[in-house]
Amino acid sequence: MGFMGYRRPDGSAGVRNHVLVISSVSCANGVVNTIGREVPEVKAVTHTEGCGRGPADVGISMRTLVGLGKNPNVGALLVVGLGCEFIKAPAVAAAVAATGKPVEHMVIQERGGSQKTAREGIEISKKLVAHVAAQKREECNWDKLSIGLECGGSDAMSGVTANPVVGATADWLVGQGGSVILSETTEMAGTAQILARRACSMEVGEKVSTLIISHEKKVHELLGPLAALAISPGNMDGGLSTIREKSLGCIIKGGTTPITEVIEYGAAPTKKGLIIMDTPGSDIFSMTGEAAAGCQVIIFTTGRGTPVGFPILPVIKVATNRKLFEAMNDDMDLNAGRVIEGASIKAVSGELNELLTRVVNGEKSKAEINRQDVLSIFTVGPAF
Amino acid sequence: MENNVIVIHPRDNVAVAIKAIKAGDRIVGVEGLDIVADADIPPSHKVAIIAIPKGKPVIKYGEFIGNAKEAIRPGDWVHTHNINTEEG
Repeated sequence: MGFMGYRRPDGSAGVRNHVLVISSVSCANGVVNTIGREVPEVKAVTHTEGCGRGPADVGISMRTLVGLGKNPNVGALLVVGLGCEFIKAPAVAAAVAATGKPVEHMVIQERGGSQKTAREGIEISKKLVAHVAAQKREECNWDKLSIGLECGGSDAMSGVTANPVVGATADWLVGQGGSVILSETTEMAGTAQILARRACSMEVGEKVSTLIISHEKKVHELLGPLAALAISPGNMDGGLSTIREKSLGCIIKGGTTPITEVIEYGAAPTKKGLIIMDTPGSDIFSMTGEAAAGCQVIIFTTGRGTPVGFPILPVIKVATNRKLFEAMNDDMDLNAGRVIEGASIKAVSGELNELLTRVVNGEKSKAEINRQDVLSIFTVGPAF
Repeated sequence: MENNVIVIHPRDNVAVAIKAIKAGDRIVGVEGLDIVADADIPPSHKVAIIAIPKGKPVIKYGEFIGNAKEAIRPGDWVHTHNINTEEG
């Protein structure tokens, strides 16, 4: 048994069937927003990138935008550009079209301005909506599923309840042939040796260890003595004694299977299994990178409570404690606080597997119901 | 009596309090273990479930998280006062 998904021409499988309308540069955001207002069935997505950045950021933004377009949850894509920007709409469209899905693009400076472009964009979008509406869900194997893991607004119970529960679910999915992406390099501090030992080969192990150690150095250079705050007085009040203990509580989300690959922000993995992506710890940047890598779902643990979702992915919120689950019930999908009340990690993970199965088959997560659509593309350098 | 600790990984030598534990309370949640807490242990803090000699690793999540600064007895609260936070 697998799940009912939308089979794509490139062999991938979507758990949603969105028409994505996205700008290649922030100058085209107005047109994208107009299309989104007139055709509410599309996911109209804007961002702040596309021009005025150095080569490293142009690379990251291009890779991320193409990855978002290629995401299996996107059934059809419309890219809107301005014309004079670094990241051009036709280039993004051409890269995504390689997947075989319907892809259109428009350039505002060539179409005679924003009103004309928006009018034509509305017509194109309506056609794409009709196209994807005709597609049906079909049975797909679990090995087509890739899950992004995330934690945000963590509390002292994150590493005791929610993260171990998600880790057990990650192990289950990898056992079924699927993939999980563990991100947030910041939160791996102190675990270079541990994670390197868990790599599937010496080469991958060295990559893991280099990634974490170079990140630790960078944080130290940037923050100096403040780097010690990576383990804060609040963390210590919560019973965490060392940075390594704190990080272990984060990375337990990834489960216990071997690490098969280490990838850059927003890059597409070439392997199945447990994959590490280099992202900042900031939730929105991290989720955007995971979506660009092709994850169809994100499982997100939280102790303080955060409502964020992602435009094209269901985001499943796992609360670390009952108080949060009840106080922000509109935003929370599962109460892992049951572990504190005597339920085993395995039992609560079983509930999460059932919830995950319902969500990939079409049940909306709370963040989807709330239309908590947020996206930010990570940058490394200054703007010019 | 309800469990007041959980052990995250079978290799761990510490358990995690899932509720506030008072000094003298029995530690409940580890099979075959009959010990009492030596101090008040707040929720999410650690308690030793087996003796950890001075200089030996404290294990949580099945992994090394620090060394015992002093001999730690079962039932001891385990935190920065008796774990070396230096990476080793």
